Amino acid sequence: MQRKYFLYIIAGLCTVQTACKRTLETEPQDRLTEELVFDEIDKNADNAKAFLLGTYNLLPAISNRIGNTLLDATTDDGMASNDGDRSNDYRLGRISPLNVLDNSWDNSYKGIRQANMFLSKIDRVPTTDELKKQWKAEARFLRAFFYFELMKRWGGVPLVGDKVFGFRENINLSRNSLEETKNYIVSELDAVKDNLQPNIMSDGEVGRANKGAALALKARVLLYWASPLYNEGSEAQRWTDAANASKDVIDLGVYSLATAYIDMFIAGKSTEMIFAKMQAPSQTLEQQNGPVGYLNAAAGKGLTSPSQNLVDAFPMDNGLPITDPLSGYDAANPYAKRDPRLDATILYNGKKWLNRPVETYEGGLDKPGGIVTQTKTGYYMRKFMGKFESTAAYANTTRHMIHFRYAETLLSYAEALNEAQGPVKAVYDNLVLIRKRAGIKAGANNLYGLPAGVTDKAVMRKIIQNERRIEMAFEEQRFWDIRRWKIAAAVMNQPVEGMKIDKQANGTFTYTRFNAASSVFDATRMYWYPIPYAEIETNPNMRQNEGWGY
Amino acid sequence: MMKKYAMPFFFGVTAAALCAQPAAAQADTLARKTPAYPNVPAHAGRVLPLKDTVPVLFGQQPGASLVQSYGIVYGDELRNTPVTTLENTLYGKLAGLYLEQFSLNPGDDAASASLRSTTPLIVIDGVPRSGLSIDPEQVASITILKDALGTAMYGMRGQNGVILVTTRHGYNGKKRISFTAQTAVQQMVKTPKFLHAYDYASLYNEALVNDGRQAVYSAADLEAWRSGSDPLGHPDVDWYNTVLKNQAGMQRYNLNVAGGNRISRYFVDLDYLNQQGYFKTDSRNTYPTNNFYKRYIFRSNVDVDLTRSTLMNLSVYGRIRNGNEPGARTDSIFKNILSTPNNAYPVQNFDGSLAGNNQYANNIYGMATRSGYRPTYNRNLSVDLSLRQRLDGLLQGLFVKGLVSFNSYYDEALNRSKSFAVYNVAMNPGVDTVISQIGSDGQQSNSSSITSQTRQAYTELQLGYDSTFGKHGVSFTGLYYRDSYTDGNVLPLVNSAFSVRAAYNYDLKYLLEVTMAYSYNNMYSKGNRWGYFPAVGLGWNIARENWFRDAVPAISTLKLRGSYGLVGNSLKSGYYSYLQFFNFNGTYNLGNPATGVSTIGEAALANPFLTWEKARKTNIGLDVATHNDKLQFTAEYYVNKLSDLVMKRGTNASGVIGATLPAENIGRSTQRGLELSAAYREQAGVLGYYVKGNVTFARTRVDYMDEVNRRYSWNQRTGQPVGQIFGLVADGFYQSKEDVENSAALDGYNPVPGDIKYKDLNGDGTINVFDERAIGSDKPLIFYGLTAGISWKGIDLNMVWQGVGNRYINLNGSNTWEFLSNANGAPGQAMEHHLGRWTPATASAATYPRLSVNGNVNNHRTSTFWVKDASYLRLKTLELGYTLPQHWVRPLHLQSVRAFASGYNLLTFTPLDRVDPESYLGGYPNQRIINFGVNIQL
Repeated sequence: MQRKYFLYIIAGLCTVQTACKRTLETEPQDRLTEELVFDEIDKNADNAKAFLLGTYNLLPAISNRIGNTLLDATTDDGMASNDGDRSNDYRLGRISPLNVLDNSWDNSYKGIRQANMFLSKIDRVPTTDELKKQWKAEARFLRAFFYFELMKRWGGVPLVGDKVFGFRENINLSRNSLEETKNYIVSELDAVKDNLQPNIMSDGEVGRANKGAALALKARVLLYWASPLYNEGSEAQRWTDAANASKDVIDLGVYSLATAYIDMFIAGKSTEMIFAKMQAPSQTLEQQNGPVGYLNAAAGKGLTSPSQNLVDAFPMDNGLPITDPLSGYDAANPYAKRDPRLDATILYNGKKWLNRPVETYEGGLDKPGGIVTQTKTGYYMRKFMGKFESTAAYANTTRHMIHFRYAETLLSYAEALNEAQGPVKAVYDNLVLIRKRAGIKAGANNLYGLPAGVTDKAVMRKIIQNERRIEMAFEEQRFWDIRRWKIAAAVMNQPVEGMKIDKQANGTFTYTRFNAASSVFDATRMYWYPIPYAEIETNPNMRQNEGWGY
Repeated sequence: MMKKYAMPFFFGVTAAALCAQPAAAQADTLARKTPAYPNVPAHAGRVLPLKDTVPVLFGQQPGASLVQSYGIVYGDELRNTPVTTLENTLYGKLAGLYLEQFSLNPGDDAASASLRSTTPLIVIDGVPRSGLSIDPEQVASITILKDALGTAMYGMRGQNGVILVTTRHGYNGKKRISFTAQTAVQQMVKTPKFLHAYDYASLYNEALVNDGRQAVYSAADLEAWRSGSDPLGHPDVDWYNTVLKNQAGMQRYNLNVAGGNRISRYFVDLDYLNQQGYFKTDSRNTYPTNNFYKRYIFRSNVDVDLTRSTLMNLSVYGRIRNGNEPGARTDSIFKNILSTPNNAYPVQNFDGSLAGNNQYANNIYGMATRSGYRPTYNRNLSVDLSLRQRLDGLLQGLFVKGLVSFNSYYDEALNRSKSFAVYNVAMNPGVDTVISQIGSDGQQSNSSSITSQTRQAYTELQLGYDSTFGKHGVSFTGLYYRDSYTDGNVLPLVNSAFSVRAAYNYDLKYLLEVTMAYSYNNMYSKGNRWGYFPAVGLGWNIARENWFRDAVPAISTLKLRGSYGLVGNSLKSGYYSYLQFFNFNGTYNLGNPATGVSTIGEAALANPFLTWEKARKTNIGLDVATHNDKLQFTAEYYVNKLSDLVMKRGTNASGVIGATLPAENIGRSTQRGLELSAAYREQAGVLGYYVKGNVTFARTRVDYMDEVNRRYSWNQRTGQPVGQIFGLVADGFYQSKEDVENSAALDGYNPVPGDIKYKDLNGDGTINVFDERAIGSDKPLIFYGLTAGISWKGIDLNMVWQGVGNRYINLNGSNTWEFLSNANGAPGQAMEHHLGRWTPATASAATYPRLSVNGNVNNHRTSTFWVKDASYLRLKTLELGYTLPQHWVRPLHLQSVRAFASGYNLLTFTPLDRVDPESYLGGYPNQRIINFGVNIQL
């Protein structure tokens, strides 16, 4: 009897034990492994495609990503509205190897690793050779893009080639020179540009890197390479190379300026958009930067305060700078008859927004005083936002973060050509294209306010630099431009101005400029970022940039 | 022969059930012999259970023959602490066990235990289980196992030590029913002292001016706050007292029945606890918004002698824990209290609507009363079945036993929260009053989510032998166990081991014990899953030597013992971290219109070489008992050498690799310490008393951590205690412009008088990370406890004192600093200690740096200014009881009636002036508990 029980229970126990072993796998099959991502039997290559898109996803976005504001709000174009915003660290000279704001080091190398991994594994996947060729070119484009992200911050950086490091390998790499880094990027772009998709893509493919993207990146790299910060020996040939690279983009013949400047930033695609980080529709940008006097679904935090300096850079609608006595600028009515791009870039006092005029006069709804975070300059940012002039609330808006657009190509071409050849006709022509699209009046001489017959390239350089500043405001160009032009020491050491607006009893306003913030820019070291200290202390071969000390 | 014993044996008893008569039953036997008046608790005043058996891993051993390092407390020593969790009853009671309470939210207020500087494994009735939330009435004893000899049978689960809880069982004797009812009042200790609006606004103006900005509050504003003339326009709301009550109730009822006969014995326990929170409520709500925590516990431990040699034990344990909190969540409300100044907004507007504005959009009163509620439901079930078969016919003292244990844990959270609108009333003189709505009155959500769902299946098969031949005592235990633990939908974590314990003693004079395990964890790569962990212990009871007995007859025990062994820690194995995984990441929005496509990225790098951490533990102990064992003393010295510690490497760690580096077996560290305990008890007629104390000195040292290249020796973490705080050395305040000019500069910060000045350790004229050094204390942590009691006739008095020394905490955040921005960028609250700020007039007496808004990068750096001595001494528990004379209760057919009053956290002595040493970040406050109860036995 007892023996019978014994056997029953032994049998039962064995069943339980074996059953446990058979019902569950011994290693998780629900997680993706390399074999599943680069699947040897997946004809559609879905996972490999998703892996490549994961690399796209590491591209930087233009957003309130520095402290609580945009990168360009750390230049003379604006400032953060929050007191104690971390973006002020640039202005106050608090950047150090231990405080590298905008530290894209790890993210860029992550992108490079993913691209390399994709390149080394994709051949296993049984999709078409044509597609593989195109994807590999995209991966190499992205890798070049990430290297440029590193290069514009730190100069020469370690080049890892096609290597995908194992975790036990020696990764104490030394930095390559700036020139080696530049050469690598350019050679990669030259190698892949013809394998990328053609420039007119089906709607479903918008967002992928195409030939235009590769040429535009190359043009940007060579433009930087020719600029004073990079071009210490002032080699003229570099400007010629840069001009030719921009000309290559123009000569593709597929891009043109979008008709409406303001619409281009909120379009799903346009003839002007060359390459963008693609974004889902959202209203984050409006909520973060919109004026603070609205409520509920129209509420904004007003985190970015554009500067009076930037407002002053916009010419009148006749194209003449406001300092020109003939421009018609009225200091008592400073926003009238201005370049229409001002309306597209800045929310100023009296401009209609969300069904009422913006009130940035002292005590106005959008500048109420007290403890509220509000504009520090009398202005809010308008750029990139949807057309909410006459709506009651914000709504989700498509807004891709455009890294390359055709207007920049034209400006770069004009800049490089002016440096290489002086203010020749093509320089004028390209500036005219930009100004015409902007809505500036043609004028009797059809020069859209440009001074005729400039022969001094220095004079034309100022004009081009100003045009680039206002056309590309807040697009993360100004921050790098003032560095590569080596004018940061000059423009950053002057105060950021604001406009104090007082409402008079009769309803008119008086305007008083004031210094909203002062900045310091240490020219001995701040043109390049410091290498993050985490790199220095883990890697004995890592050399710090000049002037940073540790 | 075998046939006779061929009863099923692979189910066995739990560790406690192993003994034919469990420790608790012995205690009960003692209690039942109680004469007219109760004695001091049977085990109080003892540190060496010389005559008892002590629960150890997979069994029990006689106290006299133990070689391993352990500590033990019995259930009757825990019951006089009026707290909700078992952990909190252990404060000050055991040498080597350090407790610190990090969370105090109702239902989540268990102290974190640290045993010899690591977090111990919790084992209840022989099975490792998560969570100790059981009521002390069920507890027979709690043993802590400290050295390698005691835990090597757990192999790679043994490194962190073990807290072994043994529950009560029935006994062969008259049934006894015990009923206890308790009701308590909880009170907050050390609440923050916020500034009134006038002081707040004055200081805020001052801070703005300090930062070179314009003051925002006018003289008229300040006067309105000072006089309180405009409570709506210039509110001054004491938010703490607006939403929190002074005290909250707590009730507990316990009923347990124990008894049995020769065939079967039982212990049944029912426990109900109801703890309330401090939030004020609104009578208009038809649902509860205040915190509460209701716990229902059931346990039934039944032992049945199936045959004369077969013992079956069935333990069933069920627990239901229901909680509640306001929809806005407890932590969020306390956070808002810290970031909302008194002048932010009135509680209500003139029309009774909730006030608020864009800067302070969460009306705290609304959060407490109008944000809905969030109930939580937690259910636990444990069933243990064991069979123990003596095989004396085969060999005297031989037995087999088997145990299966099934545990399930289910945690569910309901979200019945809702949003609410607040209204800002702008009174513009001469113009219309503008009322604007912020937020909206949302519909109540109703969703349920499973926070945690785990199941555990534990099986154990054991062969044991225990016998004595003349003066030779021999025991042996060999076993296999398998513990499969599944958390949600991931694959089970399987721990298993073949373990052995062999012990030999000669006349209890010379003691030898060997334990070992060949243990397994399925999360390591194939071929690396099994490890071998041996330990050995030796003991010599000198007092049993004839020459010693003759020389010093008063000393009955003088045992010198030592152990050495290897144990491991597999807790950091990760989830199949030897496999390289890829993750689905966010979507990329390709195309026009943009269409989200999911993307894939590489997860952290896999480490196929990962293995368990290891500890080589040496322990030396001395046990002394004199005066008929009334005076007892024990001392332990331990050195644990830890190696293969799992951490991220510091060198060759450049971001150029482009991936997250895996954890590797890199670190080495040392834990060492000294633990002293002593006890004395006396029972003389109607007077009994005892006193028991312990003190522990514990220190740790990082021996190796692949540290990054540090520029200066004082920057190095290697060689410092584990978790050492690093920071700058504060050197008073800058007193003048000259002082600033003559001091070291700061990167990107221009100090002004009143800022904290730091020492420039490397003398380079700049204050930066290279001037950071170990701050606080590098001396060993000292913690100690004193338990004492006295009983005289029917009156008894017990108390527990507990303290810590050489403990430092880093005070920071919004419970310390002024005007830290809230989520909307508006300034946060300020407190009374900010009144001691530096101003030119009060420069010499200043206790706080000059004020600034939105944080200050110089003054708020971690430094000796903020790292404070958090030593403390507490009167943790005090209990006064009175047992009614027997001739009063006998006629009522009652065994005994005892009324008692007890208190918890009654007194605290600490150099910290404004915060509680354990709850110092401004969350749910620590509490004092005043408790009244009655215990009736029949």
